[in-house]
Amino acid sequence: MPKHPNDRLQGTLDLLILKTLARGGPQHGYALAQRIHQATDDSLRIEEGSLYPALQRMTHEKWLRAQWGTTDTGRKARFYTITPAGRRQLEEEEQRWLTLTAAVSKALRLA
Amino acid sequence: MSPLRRIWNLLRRSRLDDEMQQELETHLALIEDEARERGLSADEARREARARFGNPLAYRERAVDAVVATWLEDAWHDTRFALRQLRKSPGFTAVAVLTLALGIGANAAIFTLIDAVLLKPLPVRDPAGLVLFGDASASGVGAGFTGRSFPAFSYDLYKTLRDAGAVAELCAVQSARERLGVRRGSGAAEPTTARLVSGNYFQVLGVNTMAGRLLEPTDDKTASPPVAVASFEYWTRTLAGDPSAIGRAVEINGAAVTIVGVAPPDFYGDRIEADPPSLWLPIAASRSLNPTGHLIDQPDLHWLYLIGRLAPGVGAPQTQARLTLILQDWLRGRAGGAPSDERRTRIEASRIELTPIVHGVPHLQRQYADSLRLLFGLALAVLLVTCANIAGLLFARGTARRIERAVRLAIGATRGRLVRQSLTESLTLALAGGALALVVASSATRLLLALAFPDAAFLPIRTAPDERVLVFTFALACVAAVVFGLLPALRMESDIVPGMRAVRVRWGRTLILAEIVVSLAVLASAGALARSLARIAGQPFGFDRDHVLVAHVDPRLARYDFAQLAPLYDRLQVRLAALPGVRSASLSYYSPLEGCCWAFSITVPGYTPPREEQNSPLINRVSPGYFETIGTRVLGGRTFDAHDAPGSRRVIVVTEDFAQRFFPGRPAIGQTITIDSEGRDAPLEIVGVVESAKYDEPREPMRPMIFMPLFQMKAGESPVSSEYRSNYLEAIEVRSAGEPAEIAGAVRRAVAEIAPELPVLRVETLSARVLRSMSQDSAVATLASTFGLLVLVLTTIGLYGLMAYLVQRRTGEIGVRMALGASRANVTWMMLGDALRQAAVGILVGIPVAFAATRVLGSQLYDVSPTDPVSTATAAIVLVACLSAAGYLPARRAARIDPIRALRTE
Repeated sequence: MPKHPNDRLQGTLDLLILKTLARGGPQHGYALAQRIHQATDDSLRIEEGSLYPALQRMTHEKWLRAQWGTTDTGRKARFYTITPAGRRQLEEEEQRWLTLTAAVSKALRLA
Repeated sequence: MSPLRRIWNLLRRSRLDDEMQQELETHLALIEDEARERGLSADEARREARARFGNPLAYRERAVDAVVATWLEDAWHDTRFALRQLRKSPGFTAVAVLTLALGIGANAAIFTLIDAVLLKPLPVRDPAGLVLFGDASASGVGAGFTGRSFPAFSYDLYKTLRDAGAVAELCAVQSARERLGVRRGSGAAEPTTARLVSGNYFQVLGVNTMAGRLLEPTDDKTASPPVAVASFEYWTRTLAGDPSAIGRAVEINGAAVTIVGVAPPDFYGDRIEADPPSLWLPIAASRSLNPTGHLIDQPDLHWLYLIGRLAPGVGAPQTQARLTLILQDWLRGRAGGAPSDERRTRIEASRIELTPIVHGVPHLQRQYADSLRLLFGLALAVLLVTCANIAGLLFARGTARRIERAVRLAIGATRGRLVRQSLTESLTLALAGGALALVVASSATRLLLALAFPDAAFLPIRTAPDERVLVFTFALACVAAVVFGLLPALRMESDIVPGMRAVRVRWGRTLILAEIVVSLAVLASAGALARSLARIAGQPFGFDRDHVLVAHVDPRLARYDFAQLAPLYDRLQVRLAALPGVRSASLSYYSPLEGCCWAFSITVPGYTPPREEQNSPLINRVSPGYFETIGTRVLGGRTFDAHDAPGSRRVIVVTEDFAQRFFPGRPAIGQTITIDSEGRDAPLEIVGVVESAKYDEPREPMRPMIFMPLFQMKAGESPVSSEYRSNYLEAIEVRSAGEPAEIAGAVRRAVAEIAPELPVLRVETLSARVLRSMSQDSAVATLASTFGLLVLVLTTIGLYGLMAYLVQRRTGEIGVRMALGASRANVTWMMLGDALRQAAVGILVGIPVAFAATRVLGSQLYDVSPTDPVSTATAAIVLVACLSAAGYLPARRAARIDPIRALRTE
């Protein structure tokens, strides 16, 4: 369970990070931000100020595992991998997101 | 993340910061890399990166805060959860918190006393730098210390040692307390405790004034006007905190003395004692307060303790050696020309030993250290039983919460998280118990002090918990939480896996076993202490404690002239004896068990004392009719009468011990002896022998005693001698026909009528005095018995809980047995047998432990063997009786099980 089920924004960030990691394998923070940026056709930009605290928090929730490694350009960076607990969380979040967006669209259509 | 790991993170926040810093730097660098790839210069790239990135430090802090916040949030969640759980079972919570409050409170109370008496340093500058000359083993006025380590010093010897410069600073303080008569304005003189000190006393100790000024060396000159410093307690209580009292003169023993200042609130002098001095006066002032009886000019009477600070860079052994040489020189000077060989050897054996006095001049420590340690041990044992008991309850609760825990594990809670949660619960319990314990502790401390010091008007021990007690209590509560909480928390899987429930039962049995063992040791100790107290109280005291009332007066305080004493005593005795309900009345210098007597070595013709023998009988001075009034039997000869006057032949009455020791096998009556302080030209004839009696301490063996009639002493006796001073009688005894306490008012009135200026300090029955003289023993025994009762109740509840659980668990099995023909009696015995076996094993293991515990008591016991079989056996019987009852109730319930229903539930 997320710490704040009502905090949709944070939940969304978690969802994006988990999804990106689940699809793209181990990545460092910068790559993650870039990937999300590109995947959303440049419409969503993750602020570094939200990204790193989120990564930190999710690591402590044991959804992610962090390991130090080296980038292609030879820089030392922390690489994040999704854990089985993270995958479960992802499923849950995804389900909730779909339910919510479906409900919201329905409400918007009917309104 | 495990709780430990989180604590680690909190502690290593800087390390976490580093990791984050590095990660953010990488991020920055990667932005720069990308910017450079787009063709920007290195500088431009950095600028762009910074612009996009904002303040890296703020991000870092936010990220790290997230970790800490999670931890705190979890702790908050756990605490709230714990509180919710505890609220759900108010019975368990109440029992746990209350027993913990008692267990921790008992320890906190005793720690308060241990801290005040044994641990707290004196509130002076650098208390660790203070040294006492000697070990304070002698108090009052002494002589004849030549040949050993000097425990007290004369004023002349003090000046010699101070001026020789072997130590950096040296002050002197009266070893005993002085009772002065203080008259403020009109009215009677109030008896006030005081101590004479050298003028530099407060400077050497390094105490600052609270108001006004403290004593200074110039105050301690013969010509200086007498001044006094008041204790804070005296200033606030007696002088009502009046600032104008400072600088004003009061009349002390008839002399005008100016109160120049007030000592700080936490300063009670150089030692912890009941009724610490209210006033400190310079030694020189005793010339005005006691013109004939002061000790300043008596070089051979030792009555001062010396407290100094070592010279910088000189160690204690070197200083001791130098001081000893100075002492021996001084002794040689006192001995004059050519001392005998024997005297010379004795002078060379005389020495000064230094004692560090961080906690003050040893006083209460010496008397109470063993008792306090013993009580602390017992209190810890009580807490141990409390913890075992709560652990047992937690195990039992584990069953109730099995399903809840299984669900939590199934939905993904880690085992660590559950352990953490149940530890939080334990800690919450322990802290609640600890908070309540503080309330228990401060009232328990007050109670304990009232038990141990029934005579004290004021004790320099604060019963309200201070920060040291708070820290101790908090730490103890945390330790207790771990002790009783960790095992049930770790054994949690046994709640979930059914096959592991046997483990639970085994742990439950082990805990009960531990409780029984510790309880037996506590009960046996309590029993031994109670028996010892009964032995002290029941011993023959050598007087009849019933029907005697003792009133304490101080004619010296009331400034009677020597010549006025005889008519005063006559009138008092006649008037009191004539009171209705009074059989007889008498007066004496000392009455029994009031810190008896002066002592001096004697010479008995035809008796050679064995070497090293302490041949110093106690000496008391009594009026005619004394022995019949206090009920001491006369075994031979006569007692004193009106014919034993100052001028007539000098006579004494001795105790049976005395007669047997100095005149073995021959009649003592008619023999003469001399007291060494008076010399051979003052023979004393023994005219009577009385029953031996306890005058000193109820625990100490009786000592041979001499009784002298009033006013008989050597011609021209010095006013400072005990022989002279002892004529200022301080006790009036009255034998009543009925309850002695009832005539107390009449006695007070009669004394006031005859001698309005003679204040009656205290009136009490002799039986009350006997009880009060054993107050320390009775306080220890009472407390130990309370602890014994506590562990007995806890252990009984513990066994009951375990047996009840077993019956519940074996319901199905019992049903089968009964269906197959087991009678109700069979079932009862099966379950009861289980409980009794448990008790038997506990007691078998406990007996050696109990013996070991009572052996530790050793010195505390009077006339009871440390391995007293009676105490241990009684403890075992009481314990078995209670445990049988604890086992019987669940066994009876087992026997009432309806087999059909039991089988259905199975």
